[in-house]
Amino acid sequence: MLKKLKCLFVAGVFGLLACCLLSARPCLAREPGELVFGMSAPFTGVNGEMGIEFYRGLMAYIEHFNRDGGASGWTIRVLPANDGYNPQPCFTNTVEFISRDDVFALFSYVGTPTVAHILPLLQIFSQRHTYLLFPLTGAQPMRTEPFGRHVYNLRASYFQETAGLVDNLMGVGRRRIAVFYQNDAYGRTGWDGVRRALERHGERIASEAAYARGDSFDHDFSAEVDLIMAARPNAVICIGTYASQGAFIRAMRDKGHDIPVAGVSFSDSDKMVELLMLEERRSGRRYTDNLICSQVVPCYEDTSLPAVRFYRELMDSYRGAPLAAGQGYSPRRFSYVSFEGFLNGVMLGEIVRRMADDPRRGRIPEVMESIIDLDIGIGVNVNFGPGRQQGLDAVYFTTVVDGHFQPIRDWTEWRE
Amino acid sequence: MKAPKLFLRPLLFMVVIFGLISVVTSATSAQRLKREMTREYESKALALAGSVAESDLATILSQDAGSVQARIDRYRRIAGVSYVLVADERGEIMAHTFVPGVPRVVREMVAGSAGLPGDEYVLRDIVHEGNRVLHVTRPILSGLAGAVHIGMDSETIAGHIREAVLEQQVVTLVLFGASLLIAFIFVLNISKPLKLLAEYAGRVAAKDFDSVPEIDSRDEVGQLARAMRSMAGHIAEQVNSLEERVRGKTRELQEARDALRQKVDERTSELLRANTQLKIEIAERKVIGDALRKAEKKYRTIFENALEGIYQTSPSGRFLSANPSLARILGFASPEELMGSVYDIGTQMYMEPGRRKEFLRLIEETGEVKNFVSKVRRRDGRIIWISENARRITDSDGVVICYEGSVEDITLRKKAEDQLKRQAFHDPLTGLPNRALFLDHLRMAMERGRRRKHLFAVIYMDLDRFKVINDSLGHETGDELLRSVARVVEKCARSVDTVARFGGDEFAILIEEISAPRDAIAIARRILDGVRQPFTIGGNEVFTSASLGVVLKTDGYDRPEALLRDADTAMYRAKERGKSSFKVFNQKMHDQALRLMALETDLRRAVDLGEFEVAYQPIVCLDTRQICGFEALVRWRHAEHGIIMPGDFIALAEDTGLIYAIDNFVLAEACGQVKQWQISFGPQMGELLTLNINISGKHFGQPMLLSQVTRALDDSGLHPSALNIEITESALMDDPSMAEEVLRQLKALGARVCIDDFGTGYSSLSYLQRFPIDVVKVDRSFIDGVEGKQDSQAIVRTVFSLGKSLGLKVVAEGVETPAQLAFLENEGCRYVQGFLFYRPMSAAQVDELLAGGSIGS
Repeated sequence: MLKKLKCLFVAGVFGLLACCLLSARPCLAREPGELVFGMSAPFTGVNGEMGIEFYRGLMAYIEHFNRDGGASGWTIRVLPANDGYNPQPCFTNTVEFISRDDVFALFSYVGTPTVAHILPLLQIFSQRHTYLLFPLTGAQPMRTEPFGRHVYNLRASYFQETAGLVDNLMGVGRRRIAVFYQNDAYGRTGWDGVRRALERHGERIASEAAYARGDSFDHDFSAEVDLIMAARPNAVICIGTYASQGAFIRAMRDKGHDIPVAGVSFSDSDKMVELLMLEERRSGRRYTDNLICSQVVPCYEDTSLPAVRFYRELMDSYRGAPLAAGQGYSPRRFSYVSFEGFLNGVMLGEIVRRMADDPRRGRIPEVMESIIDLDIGIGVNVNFGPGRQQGLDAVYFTTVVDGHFQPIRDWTEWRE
Repeated sequence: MKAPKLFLRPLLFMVVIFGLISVVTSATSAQRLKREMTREYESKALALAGSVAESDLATILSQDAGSVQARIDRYRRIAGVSYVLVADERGEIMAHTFVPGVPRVVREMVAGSAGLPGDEYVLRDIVHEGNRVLHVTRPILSGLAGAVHIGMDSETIAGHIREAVLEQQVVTLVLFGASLLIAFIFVLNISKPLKLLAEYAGRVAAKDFDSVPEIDSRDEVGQLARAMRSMAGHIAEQVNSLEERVRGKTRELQEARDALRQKVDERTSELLRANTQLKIEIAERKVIGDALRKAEKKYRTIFENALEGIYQTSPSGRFLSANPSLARILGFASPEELMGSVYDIGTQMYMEPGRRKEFLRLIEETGEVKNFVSKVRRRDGRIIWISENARRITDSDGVVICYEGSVEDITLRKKAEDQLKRQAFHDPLTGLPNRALFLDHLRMAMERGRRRKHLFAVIYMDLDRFKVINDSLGHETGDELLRSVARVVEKCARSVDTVARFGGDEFAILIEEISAPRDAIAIARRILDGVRQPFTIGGNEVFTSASLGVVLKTDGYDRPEALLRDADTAMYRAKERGKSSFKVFNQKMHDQALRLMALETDLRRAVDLGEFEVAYQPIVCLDTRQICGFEALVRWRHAEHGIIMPGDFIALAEDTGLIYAIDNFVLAEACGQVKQWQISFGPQMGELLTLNINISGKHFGQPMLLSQVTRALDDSGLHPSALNIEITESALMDDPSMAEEVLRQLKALGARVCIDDFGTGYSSLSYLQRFPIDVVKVDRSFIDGVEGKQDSQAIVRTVFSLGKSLGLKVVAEGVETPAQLAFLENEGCRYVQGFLFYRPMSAAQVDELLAGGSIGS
């Protein structure tokens, strides 16, 4: 009897335990609260303003989102952390986000070398469903195996940007194309994109020069210009930051070379043009002629787009910043970078909205796959769906006229 | 603590060994380290390359350059990695870490490794950006998927090696220091007892046998200590007994010494006195010696530095001593050389044999020689003249020791004397002997003639018209002519003869050793002929001739001057007789000469006594046939010979200078007389009377003439225009410029000038224009000729027409016949003078004449 009782007790305990275990699931459905996202980006250094602008854009929307009460009560909090565009701080930031802050997801990282460096972390922490959403980079490692499946990109890839630039330049007869690139994963990806695009046209890179990440706008790139111009290219594609690309353009123009210089979206063309305009005022030379900038978002001046209108409205009222602003920095009213950040914010809001009933990290792939033909008001729809790690494919080409960006409608202007 | 000396050598040895050890260990460990580290780096590089090649195979195969880049960026942070590069199987670079581009050396390596299949990795050392780099090439999938290239910085290896070696050295140094300390303590332990023993041995030597060092060790040092102790005891005993004996002996010695000391003291005081004496003497001698040395030095200096040669010679003719000057005079480098070379002065020095004998003779006679002048031969063969002063030096017995003397080189003086002598006795122009030398030779010839029969002759020679040549062709030509004549005369004479020039154009020749007078005549003829030949001088042919006076009879003369005077006289005779001839002096000339001498004596006396009178020859004016003036003529009333006419004594008066007194007398006398006549017989005729006074050519050139005329006019009161000064043509032409001046002054006085003997002198008429002439007297020789000779008539006619056209008063003198008068009147002559009208007459006769009407008939 006692033995029976004993057996019963054990069974009871087990049953209780089983009950407890079974009832655990409904227990996790918490009261709506705050979802925390970690953002490691450069807020200081040579690419600092880019990070700030990016942050301002996304926060403009997220504040609006939170003001509106979030999604079913779920609000978004973004933890900004400065990595100064260096891989190691970025790595540390990421580890802290995951282990200390237990963030919901990583969001809106900036920079290829930094992001490329933390990709293995995503693999390591894949058990806790750690994903990176919409980093500001077009590099391939975020889009391909082995780590691409932990990353969801919104913007078009550098391959797409460079392919677009190469195809258009080829179209106007500029077949000798040189590459000026940053000596890291970002530059190498852009360089690879150009190489692949040229290969399709049966061409090779005419000449190339690398520079070390971290070179500022004051750096003199005369030697690099000579290296590139030795092969007498008729166009140069830069894969760099706004500071280095601006310095390179200045060196080109100072040495009397006026061939077109094209840059990709990561170069923060608004900041670069601002720097060049300042330089024009100082020296009296022309630095903003013959510039081509590829963008991954539409022009923020195109107010026919609802997203643009919304963006401009929210930006005008937004006053925040991730850090105490550095010297010489004044927030730009609008810019491609902040617009991209804004769209990132819109997308994040959409994701939260779509799992507001039960926001769990493990649901992120499911939610991302559900985003098909989503209209966010920029003229083209966002498409993820199964197997896709990238939402947009559109690339926009702009040039600078009188210090303002204008979409390129006719490439024949640059016919050789 | 001072290190014991024993320690020093081991220390040195240890230092050397340590140095060697540290060098060797450094080298070996550096090598080893390098090997190990290089191997480590190689394996590190290979591991990295393998990691890239294998772990990133997927990205590489997918050609995802960005991923590859992200991967290799991570490797860059690994210590020692310089660069990483990934290339595909074709050698195309996929990713790399270079900025701005891949260096050429790496690119070549990548290209080189592209086509090589296989798993073998390649290691190479390259230089990249100045650093040595270990380059590793690791194929991926046996090269089918490309290759990984990794550069390891070798500098890091080198740095590690340096650190390791340094560390090792420090450790070795510390070890060395420790062993040094131990060795020091060890050696100190050995040396301490040794040192104590050494000190003890030193004390034993100083006879201190106590305080024996306590050394109880059982080793060799302990044995040594014991041996030393027993030895010291032994020595101590011996020393003690020795000392006892010494003390005894010392006492004895002490006593002996005291006695000795007393003696020594006495002796010492004596010696001190003697010593003081000696010191005084030494001091005196020193003073004397110094004085002697000083004196010797003084005289030595004089001897050495004297300009004169100073010597001492032995009687045998050898130099005993000589000073540098003597050596120099005789052409030797030093006195020693001189004394060594000359062993017989008589033959080696003097040119004249016997000169030394003469020297010895003189010095034996008088004890000295003075100004003993000799010719000597210098060592180089040159002959010089020396003058010696010497004296004999004898010893107390009167035996000759040596001769002592001085020598002076008088060659220059001798030469100068010869030169002077020559200049004194020779004519500088022709080089012939002059008058003095000639007279000397002549005197000697005369002496020889007196001593034995020695015939000689004297020729006196004078060139004809030399003055003309001199004046017309110049002095230089004249001098050249004289030289040429001298040569000719020398050639004509013989070598024994003496040819001399006396000055001007006068020569004299002494012909000696002739056998007969005709030899001299022959020579005289030769000279005449020779001189007559034309001489070519300065491109001109010059003709001249000579007049010679010869004295053949040369005995009977006392003085050479008298002989010469006679030759001169003969020469003048020859000149008078016509030029280019010779005249032998004879008795008649001799007499004449004597007479002339007498006359001269008389003439002097006559001037003193006033034996002269004035005669007046009236000049008649043909217009009125009346006396219009007088010519004053001098007369000598000789006490014995009666009246002597001017022609006989004027020449002599001119030669002797008495002419001035005579002329002056006539001037004063005549002026006074005529004035008197003017007063007595004026005014109808007397006031117009003029006076002509003859002035000798010699007198004319004298400055006193003007004052004499002035005084005569002043004294007499005669109006100057009444006075006509008569001058001969030749007197004017001797010195025309002087004459012009004198005439002008006479004219300034108011006197008139008259040319006497017009037409006989030089034919130049230009002087009529040049000189202020008032009156011309036609010479009587032309007047004589007008009766027969056509040319005389022409001359006279010309003179009158000339006088008329030049406005001159023309006077004809010597008019003796009516025919002459008729001719002259016909030619327009207005004034005549001559016997036809009046002879010269005394003043008394003139008085009568004038008183009687004074009209010439």
